[in-house]
Amino acid sequence: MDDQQVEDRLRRIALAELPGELRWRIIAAARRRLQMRRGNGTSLRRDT
Amino acid sequence: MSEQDRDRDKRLLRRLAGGDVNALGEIYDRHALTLYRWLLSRDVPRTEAQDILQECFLALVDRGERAAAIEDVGGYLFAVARNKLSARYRRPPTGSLELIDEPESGNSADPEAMAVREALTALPPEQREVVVLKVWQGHTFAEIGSLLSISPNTASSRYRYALQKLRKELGESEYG
Repeated sequence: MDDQQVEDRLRRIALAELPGELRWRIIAAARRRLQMRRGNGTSLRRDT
Repeated sequence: MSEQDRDRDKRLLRRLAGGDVNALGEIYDRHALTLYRWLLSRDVPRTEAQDILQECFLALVDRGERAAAIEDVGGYLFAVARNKLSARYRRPPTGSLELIDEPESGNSADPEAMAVREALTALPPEQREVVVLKVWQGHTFAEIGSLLSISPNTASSRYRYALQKLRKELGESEYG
């Protein structure tokens, strides 16, 4: 078996995929952080 | 990664720095799978790999306007992931490799999948990660070097050693 055959055998095997809900979870968390930051910015401006 | 891909990433980073969360979704679509499979190749269990992935992408958000200054977002995400890994694990994680689905799902009871899984498990993680990034994620040795903070020559030699071992292991369990 040469290197190419080894690579071909490896490529035929499916590796783990990302779970669909992870993207949603990360975007939701990012949105919350961005909103919080905007909120903090607003309150800081009000304080000064 | 082509010049065009790099430009695309930089445009997305500028949008993210301006508070556009949809840009983060696009960065995720471009880089998350490579990062996830790399974490799994380092023996990190799937649920923990997903947590680390989330922390990496939120680290980008936390940079705020400074996200626009990142030159290589893939390299940045890998660097954050490496730091998170060493903070979580005093010793590298060891256990069952969760890179390939268990027999009851995906590659169900496929002896070829099991043979590849065993052969990959037998590799040192430093070699296994290069194989995953090269064979499945299609990166060049220069790109792998940049993601893992090693030289392209080191990436290439780790790959050669890995392939020698895989050839022997898979040759002995001939299903292909």
